[in-house]
Amino acid sequence: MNGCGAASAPDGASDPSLPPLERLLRSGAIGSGAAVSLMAAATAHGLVHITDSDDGSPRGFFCGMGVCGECTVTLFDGSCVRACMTSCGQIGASAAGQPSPDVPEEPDLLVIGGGPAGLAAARAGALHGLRVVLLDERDKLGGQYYKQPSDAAAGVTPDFQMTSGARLIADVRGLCVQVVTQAVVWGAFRPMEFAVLIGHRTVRIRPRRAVLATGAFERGLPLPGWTLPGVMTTGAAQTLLRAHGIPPGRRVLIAGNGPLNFQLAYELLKAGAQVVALAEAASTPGWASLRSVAGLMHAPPLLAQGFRYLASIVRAGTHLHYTTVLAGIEGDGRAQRARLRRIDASGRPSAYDVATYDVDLVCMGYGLEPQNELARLLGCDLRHDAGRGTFAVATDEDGATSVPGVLVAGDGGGRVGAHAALAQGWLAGCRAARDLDRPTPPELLTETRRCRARLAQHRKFQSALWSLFRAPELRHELAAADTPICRCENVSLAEIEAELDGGVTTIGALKRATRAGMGRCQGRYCGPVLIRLLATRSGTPLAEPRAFAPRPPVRPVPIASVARGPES
Amino acid sequence: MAAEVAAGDDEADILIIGAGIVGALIGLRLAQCGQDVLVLDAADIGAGASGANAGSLHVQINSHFAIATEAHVIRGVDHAAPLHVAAIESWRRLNDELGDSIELGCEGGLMVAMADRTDLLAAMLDRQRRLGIPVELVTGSAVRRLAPYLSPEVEAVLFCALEGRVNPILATPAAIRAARRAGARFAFSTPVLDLTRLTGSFVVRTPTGVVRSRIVVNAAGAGAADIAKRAGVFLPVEARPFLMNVTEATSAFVPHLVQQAGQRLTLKQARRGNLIIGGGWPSTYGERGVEVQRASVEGNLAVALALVPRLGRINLLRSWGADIYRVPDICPVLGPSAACPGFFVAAAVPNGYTLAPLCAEITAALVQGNAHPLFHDGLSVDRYPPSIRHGIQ
Repeated sequence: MNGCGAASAPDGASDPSLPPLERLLRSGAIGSGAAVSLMAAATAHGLVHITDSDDGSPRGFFCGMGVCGECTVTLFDGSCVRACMTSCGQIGASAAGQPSPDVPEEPDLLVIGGGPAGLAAARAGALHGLRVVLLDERDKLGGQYYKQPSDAAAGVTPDFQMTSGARLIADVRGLCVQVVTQAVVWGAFRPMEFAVLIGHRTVRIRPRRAVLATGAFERGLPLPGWTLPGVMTTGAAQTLLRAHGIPPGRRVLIAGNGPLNFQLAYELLKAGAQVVALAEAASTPGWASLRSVAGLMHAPPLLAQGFRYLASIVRAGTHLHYTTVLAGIEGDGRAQRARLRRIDASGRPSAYDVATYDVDLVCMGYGLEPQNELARLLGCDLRHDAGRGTFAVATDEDGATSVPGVLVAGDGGGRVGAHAALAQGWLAGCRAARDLDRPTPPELLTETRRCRARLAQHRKFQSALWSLFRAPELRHELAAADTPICRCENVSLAEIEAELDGGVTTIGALKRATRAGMGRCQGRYCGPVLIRLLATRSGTPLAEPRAFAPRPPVRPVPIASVARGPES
Repeated sequence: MAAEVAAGDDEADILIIGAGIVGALIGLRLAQCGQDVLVLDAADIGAGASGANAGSLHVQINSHFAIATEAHVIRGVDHAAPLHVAAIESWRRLNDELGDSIELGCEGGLMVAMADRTDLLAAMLDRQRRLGIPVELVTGSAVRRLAPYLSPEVEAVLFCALEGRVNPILATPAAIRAARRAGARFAFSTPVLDLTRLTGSFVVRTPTGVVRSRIVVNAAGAGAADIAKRAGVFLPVEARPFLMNVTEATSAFVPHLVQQAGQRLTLKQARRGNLIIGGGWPSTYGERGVEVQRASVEGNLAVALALVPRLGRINLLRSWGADIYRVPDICPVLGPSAACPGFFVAAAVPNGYTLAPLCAEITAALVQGNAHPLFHDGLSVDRYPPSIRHGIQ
């Protein structure tokens, strides 16, 4: 593995024992002045194979959002960072140490996550006169949806999402909100205390109310070849393209389920890449979809956007495959070919490939998993979202959870989409204020009413959208016996099934027996697959949450930033 | 490995309660002697301390116990010391026997002292030597040669060549597999609901039925006090959830098991390169199991960082709480109970994982009516007379 702290010699550019990403860093080819991420800079250099896993298998950038940890790289000072979350400018700054901004340790409202939900919650809180702290892990607010272009990304023409995001961000910054970016919330401790890495030290924040707006990450769908360099999530490809203006590939195949993949295809085509095929797991829209399309009229601009994506894809000659999934990705040390198969209603792929494409990039977007670790650490009750096969934090309409003072808004509480997240964020911010005896002033009540209406409307839109994109909930169905289910520890489906055959009945026992879930991603990718496999074996419904027990830190953090003696 | 649940009623000559490392190895030793053995476990493989502990193999005495002045602790530590020395040899034999890799490594262990605690080290050197623990005092530049990763502020260390580590998540299932191969039967997810002693036999009720046996061995770890109570035996085992931390993997640089005199710290590097840091910082029991305390994580890592400065840039990957258990006199509790004939106790304290293979050998001998050269009354459960019971509650 790209061992943390493996080497620190600045002259290691030609040291073959170093991972390729580290060699590139040491070669000096990546300037430390640029504000783009290390991931973007390395991709611009044509680097695809960035490191090797423990078993020697080559790896590339996968999630692009700090979840998989596979792009962890050792900087000159020996610190280990995720290349996708670190800007080139931080390479040199790291050793010197950045001053930590003074963050109030007991704000009225702490908002975690600067996407649509978090921005709206912070805005609501501030408009109610609360002292608000807004934290985001990235160097830019906006989150996955508003994805703000990096300062150095000259080639990026802001699109509609970016400009509306920029407006909201400016709005929030104009209010009395203390914004801290590059703030990694690594722990949550009961009753309500957060450990946040800012600069090089941990700040403890004990807010009176907290809105967790941590969003979602793309589900990992294990299938043959999914760990190869040149296979990344749809979100990672979008980040490279939209935030940094760097095309992630030239001949691209996109596979998955849902509208994000269509948007990516449109954006890649616009950037001049060739999108050879788009494989959508849902079936071809037909007469039966008319009702769904009617439902989509709840959000006409989004519907129009959808048609625009589709038209450009058709015009470009991209092969559109419905009821089709990725069957496997092959190549010599990186993705070079992708095979597609039809699936039946249960999500089983057929025995034969329907198409094979030569590619240099495969993007996978098979749905989202809520990032709910902080809520789980605080003891919030979960509910099983049967339709999406996920566990989401149980909340009321305002986002209040089972734990007093803790609210959840946006995709972190289950898939709602960016527009509904905006409304949820506002409502959660207002609720926090109300709980702190700051009733909503009359002039803001219109917005609250509008948010409630918008939420209802977007629920209808989402429900229509996902009935249009209805597809089997895929977990392990595409994996072969030797496919790694756990990317971090390289645990194959066969190894997991052997333990299940032996009678292992809990996810904890499965973890101890196979090491699945012990790696850098903390079980975020394999966990949902293991839960499904366990439930299938035991024949019990997935009603009870039985995910990996939540453990701090929820993101790897340097020991120096955590250690604190009794004297300080 | 099959983790079957006991189906309906069952019978065994010897019933072992608890399939952690201690119970599994007792099962192994008894089955090897041709005994009819059934091992019950309330949860699944490695769900208790045997799956969550840090795998340290301790021989040196924990400095807090070494300087304790209570008579029962002094006596307990004296009695436990020779067992720790012998336990390492038991692990080596077991390692050769198991055939599976359990990542056993005995590169030695260090009891480290900063300048302000060298007095403690001198006292420990003396006491440990008297108890037959092979330690040597290393000072000054020899410390740098022995352990260049230690902070320059470390003045002296006690080195014990026997100490080391093993990987519990490999060793516990390997022990269960070996016991199965030898003929022991296991039933997981089978908690004991009730235990009754009849004339010459025990009746143990579980959710799936009734198990009858001639002998019961209590190897229930943190749950052993409760099982003993059901048999009318007083066993002051106390469960203590302790914090464990693991870092991301890094290149090998800590070959030893490291402890610090006067501090709560154990630190070592696993074969894969992850550093495992613990030492007895408290966790708490919450509604959803053991919960990690912020202050413990911060404190434990601060101690570790002061000793091994290179840790600073290494990332913490995960912290968790492990159900470690203790008895007040810090000494194993083994053998038959006078209060309940046929009922045996196997509580491997204070270092359960270190002592497990030896405690299993001793227990297997006693259960079969044989003597064991290392067993004496000071290790027996009968050492807790009613008068002391009040003193330690």
